Amino acid sequence: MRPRMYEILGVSFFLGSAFFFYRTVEFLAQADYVAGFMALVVAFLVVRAGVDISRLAVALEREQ
Amino acid sequence: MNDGGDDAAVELFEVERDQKVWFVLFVMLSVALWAQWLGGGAAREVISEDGSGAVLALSLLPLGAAVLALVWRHPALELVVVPLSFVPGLIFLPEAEWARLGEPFALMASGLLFGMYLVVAAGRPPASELVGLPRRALEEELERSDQRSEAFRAFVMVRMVAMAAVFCVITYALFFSVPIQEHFEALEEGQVQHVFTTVLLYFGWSIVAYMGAVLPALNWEHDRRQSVLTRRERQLLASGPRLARRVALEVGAVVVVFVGILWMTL
Repeated sequence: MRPRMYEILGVSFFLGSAFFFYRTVEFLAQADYVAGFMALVVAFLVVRAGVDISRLAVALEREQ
Repeated sequence: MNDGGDDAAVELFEVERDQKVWFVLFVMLSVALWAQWLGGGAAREVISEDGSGAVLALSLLPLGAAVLALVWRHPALELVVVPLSFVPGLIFLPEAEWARLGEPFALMASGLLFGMYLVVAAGRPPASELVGLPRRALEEELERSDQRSEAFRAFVMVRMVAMAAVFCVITYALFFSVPIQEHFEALEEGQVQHVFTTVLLYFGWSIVAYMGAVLPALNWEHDRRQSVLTRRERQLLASGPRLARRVALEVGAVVVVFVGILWMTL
């Protein structure tokens, strides 16, 4: 059960990064570069977290 | 009688040959990508009387990052640091260069070069030290991983669908969201800003897609790439022309879709 939960959480992080990408476009369209790049960095970090959670899911599945 | 030793020698020769080919391809594509994206801007800085040394240094950053990637041989350098090192130079790129990059042919060349760069960077041959691992153990591991191929496929497919969804959101934001289009139109250099944002976001999405979908596909069971490939995938990898055709078709399809979207909306 735990691996499945981590798996769902990891994919949710991937999908959640879309919000930050959208905000990046919004900020850059207003020529607000600092906010735009911060939102882009957050999007990358969210995806990175999703990747690590997925790795955890794989490790737990193998352990079981 | 000495088949094992001969096999190892042949394998070592092939790996070293692949390493040389990979080195040449990596250097060529890094330089070509730099010339395509930042070369014009760097040349303008050199020629211009009021050129900035700092901007020129930022333009040369990707070449330094590529050298570091070759020296330290780390996938994160090749696939994340080198692509990201282009961003500072792109930010300070003159508007005329952005206009040039926004032309359909230049966009197609950029997409094609970047796709080829990612494919080559992701396909670094194994280190020579890995040659000669016990084949029997490798085959047994392969057998076991074949039994898990369904789970492997589901794992990768879910991520590919998620990445496709993120791509759709980015495309919607860039070309179809009315409030965002109004913001672009309100800017003095709205068209240039639009091209810059488009290139940056698709560039970012490529990195994310690599981290989220391509990397797990290549590194299933993390760092045990060789032992997790199914027989079908190994056959595919062994058949160079077939794999090359498949990669070329996939990259070509992505570029055609990308340019088509830009062509219709810009």
